[in-house]
Amino acid sequence: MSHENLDPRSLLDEHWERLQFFAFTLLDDKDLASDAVADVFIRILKHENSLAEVRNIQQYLYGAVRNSCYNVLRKKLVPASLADPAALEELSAVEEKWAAEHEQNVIRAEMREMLATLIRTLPAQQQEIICRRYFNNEKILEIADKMGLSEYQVRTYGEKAINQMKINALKADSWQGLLLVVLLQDLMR
Amino acid sequence: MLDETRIAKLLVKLVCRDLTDEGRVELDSWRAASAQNEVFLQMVTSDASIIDDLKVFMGMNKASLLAKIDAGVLENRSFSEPEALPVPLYRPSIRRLKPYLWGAAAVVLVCLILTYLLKAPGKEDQTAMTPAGGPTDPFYSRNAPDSGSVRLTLGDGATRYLDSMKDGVVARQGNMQASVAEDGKLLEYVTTSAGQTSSAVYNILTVPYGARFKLLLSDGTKVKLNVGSSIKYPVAFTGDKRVVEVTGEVFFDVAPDSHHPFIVRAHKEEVEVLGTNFVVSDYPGEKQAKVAVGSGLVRVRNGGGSAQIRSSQGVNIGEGGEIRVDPNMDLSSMLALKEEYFNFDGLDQKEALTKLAESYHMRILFDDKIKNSPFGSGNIQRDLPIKRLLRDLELPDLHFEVRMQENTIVVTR
Repeated sequence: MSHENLDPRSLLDEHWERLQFFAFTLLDDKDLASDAVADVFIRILKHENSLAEVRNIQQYLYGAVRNSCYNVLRKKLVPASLADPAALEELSAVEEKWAAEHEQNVIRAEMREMLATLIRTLPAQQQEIICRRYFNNEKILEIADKMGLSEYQVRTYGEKAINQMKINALKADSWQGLLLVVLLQDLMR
Repeated sequence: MLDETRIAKLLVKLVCRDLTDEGRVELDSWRAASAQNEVFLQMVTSDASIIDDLKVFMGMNKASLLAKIDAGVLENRSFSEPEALPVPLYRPSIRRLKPYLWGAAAVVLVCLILTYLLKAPGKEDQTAMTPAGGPTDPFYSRNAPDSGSVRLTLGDGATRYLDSMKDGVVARQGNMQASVAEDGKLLEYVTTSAGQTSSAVYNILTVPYGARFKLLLSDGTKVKLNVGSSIKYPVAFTGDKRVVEVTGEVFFDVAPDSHHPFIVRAHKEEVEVLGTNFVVSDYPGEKQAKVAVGSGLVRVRNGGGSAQIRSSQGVNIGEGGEIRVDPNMDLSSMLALKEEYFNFDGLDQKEALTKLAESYHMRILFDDKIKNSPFGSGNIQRDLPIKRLLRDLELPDLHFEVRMQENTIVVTR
């Protein structure tokens, strides 16, 4: 038995983002992706899918979402009334592809989540600086102006943020996280 | 850890095309060490096509996902097919490493992060993360309990299968202890001295078709669940009212307590009592709900209005909301939970068997040769396990095979 928290609402809070991203990498449609994730949780909430005997909840959820993506796609491609052989063939090809690439897709979602988590743990002000500096490519002066800070403060808080993310990655024993932070810092310098 | 920091630095050099031959050898041996390393390396160094995907993804937010889930739970709707296919077992196939796409790596990474940041740090999104009105209660979804086991769902979502348990303690929640007794036919809640007072912890007891179960609540109220029924209740009653929710057919013998009225909520109606015994029958999919009172006085309320019912009276509650006294109701069999037959009058063989399978939440497959003949006798006992029930229905030209693992009944000639 797992000691993880199996309350569906907490699971949803914890995993929705990675799962939705994962579904999106499969379906390439944000609305269908959220349909697929919604379905998994509807089943869980209605107790159709019991979590009691699941060993690895995260692995289970990724599998369930992939399944759900398949059903969503099947519903879209093959209307119940007519079973078009071409569509069915396409569907089974997609299924094979998803199965083959499952691990890569999971890692991709996990990587994204890892970095997101590192950024999320920063104080709001540092988050904003990182966002503006590294992703909007705003200049230090611009940021200082917009946020009502001095240039020196922006620089210092930015460095603090990067350092904090590194420390957090190390604390979490996550070399992948550390790598992502170092890459982030180096590539955008 | 030192080792990992070193690998991280090597990887950075790799991505920045700054890797020495020595470093490359070191990195190669790390890469070969595990499939996960290989995949990770591939992730950071290749596949630029995700950039566009990620941009589309930026518009995602949690609020709309929650809305879909709540709607799905409430309206019993699914966004995909009703049956989930099993996940096929997969063997991860690690492809051969492509030549590294140096420039692309940087762009991928930036976009990866960009996706997150463009939507994450915003305060409005943070607030959207918590559902405004509290969690939607899945309890009223009009689904009969699934076939198979008597299930107890605990406050933390964990499940206990009671019919496979011996008498004894099945769960402790705060200072409340739940035990199975009477040879696996009764679940009872008692207060223990250990642990904190349990407040607002709800349990759900679900009884499938083919089984019945008894429950003794913490206030002493006795409950009997008929086939295909369920009840949600707090492990300890703390407020000024005692409120439980039910589906299916449930008998109550309420422990008298004039300061804490006992309220039973069902899909179509709500029943309030002080201390009395009565039955609420409200099966999913049936047009009418019924309430029958053995003794005392109860008040039945629904969207339309309310009515008082005296002892030895029964009422029907229609879907339209009207509450009507039914002078013909067989109260004694109602109160003894004796409504024990499926009613298949007027259905042909396939229709009847399909309906039967539905109530056990199983799929049914028919051999092509099955003829659509009338089903014959209309009464079939509701409280039998499916295998036993089907054995009684076997005919010289009608055979059943129950595949429990696939949850399927196969009908052949």
